Amino acid sequence: MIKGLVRNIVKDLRIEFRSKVVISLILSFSVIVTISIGFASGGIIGSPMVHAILLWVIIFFSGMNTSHLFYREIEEHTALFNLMYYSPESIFVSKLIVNCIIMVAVAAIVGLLYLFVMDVSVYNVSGFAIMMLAGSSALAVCTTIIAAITALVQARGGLFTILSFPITLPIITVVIKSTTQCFSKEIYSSWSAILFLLAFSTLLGVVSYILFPYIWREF
Amino acid sequence: MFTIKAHNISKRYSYRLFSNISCSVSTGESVAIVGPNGSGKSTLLKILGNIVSPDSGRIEYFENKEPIPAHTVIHYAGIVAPYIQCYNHLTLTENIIFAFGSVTDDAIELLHRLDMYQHKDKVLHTYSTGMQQRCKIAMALLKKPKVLLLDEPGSNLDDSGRKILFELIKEIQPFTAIIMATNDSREAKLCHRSIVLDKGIGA
Repeated sequence: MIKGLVRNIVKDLRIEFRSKVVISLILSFSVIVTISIGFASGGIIGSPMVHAILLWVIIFFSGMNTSHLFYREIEEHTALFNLMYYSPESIFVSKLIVNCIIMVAVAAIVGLLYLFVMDVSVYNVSGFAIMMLAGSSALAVCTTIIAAITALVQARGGLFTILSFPITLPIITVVIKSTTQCFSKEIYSSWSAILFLLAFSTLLGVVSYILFPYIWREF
Repeated sequence: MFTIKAHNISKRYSYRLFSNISCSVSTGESVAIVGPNGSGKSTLLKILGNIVSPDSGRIEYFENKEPIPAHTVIHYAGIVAPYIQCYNHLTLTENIIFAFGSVTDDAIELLHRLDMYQHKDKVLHTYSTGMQQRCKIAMALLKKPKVLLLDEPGSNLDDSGRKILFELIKEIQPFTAIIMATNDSREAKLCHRSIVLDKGIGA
């Protein structure tokens, strides 16, 4: 299991750094949207909630591109090749870890870029950092299992969007509310939100781990 | 000793492919699945390898006469087929390390035999289709599989490639159960028995 996990992570990262498909999609989307919002608004967005909404919308749509990690295995006919050597569980966990790495990196880059371009003040830096980490990890867990479910379907793009809506909605709602608190002078009271994100991610991750071998079976 | 036993296998898509096929393959035996295009050779191969489920019928897998779960069969199998590819953004060496952890002496010897050793550090998407087929053969055989599933294994190979493939198949035959879907009569002749798929019925 551990061997399969490590080798799959190394393989996915190596392929990604060579092909640069996901990285380019994420960076082009996030940079263009953030800078466009900055220019269009002229920096006059005052409400912390609007800033929080815009920030998480950018992170959410940038992160959706990580689904390509699973789709690539199907489109390039390498899924069976991988299964010949490693268990479905190790494949799933490796994709989850790679997705988390990419999503956390995306959140960090987009977050810093947004704060810089929009000149937003963060009143609770540690709370904001924890929220970015917990929120992006929770989104990574969601996108991993949704990508796994939809990868074997022909109309995967449409199905991915439809399934993403109910699963990511609770996460987006919670992170927007908590990030708003970080951007305002309110007393930070989002520890329950962080606990919710951790519990939600853990539950979804465990259920996905159990279900994945049944999904990733027929080709 | 690895054994696959299929009982009354049927499969249909929009049209009927085949029905009521029964067969058994054990270590040391080889079976060719032959028939015209669209007769279901690849589908039957996938069903026997538990890659696709049959509509009806039952398949049992045994290792040393003990039944094993169907979903674990892929871990015993080496597959060479058009619907399975090595990682094209990695080199052959990186593919071998991904699958086996290191490039062993056996791997080096096999790469020499397949005339791939000098290309081992090139990224696979720079290979011709024939060279990619040689990679798939290498990756399947290096696994030392208990069951070898071959779907048109000679496709895209030149004469020397086919000759090497035939030699390799003959060498591993005593230790492996081999199932081969093919249109090539020379490949089919390598096998002990044939399943002929015609007009939806296995003969």
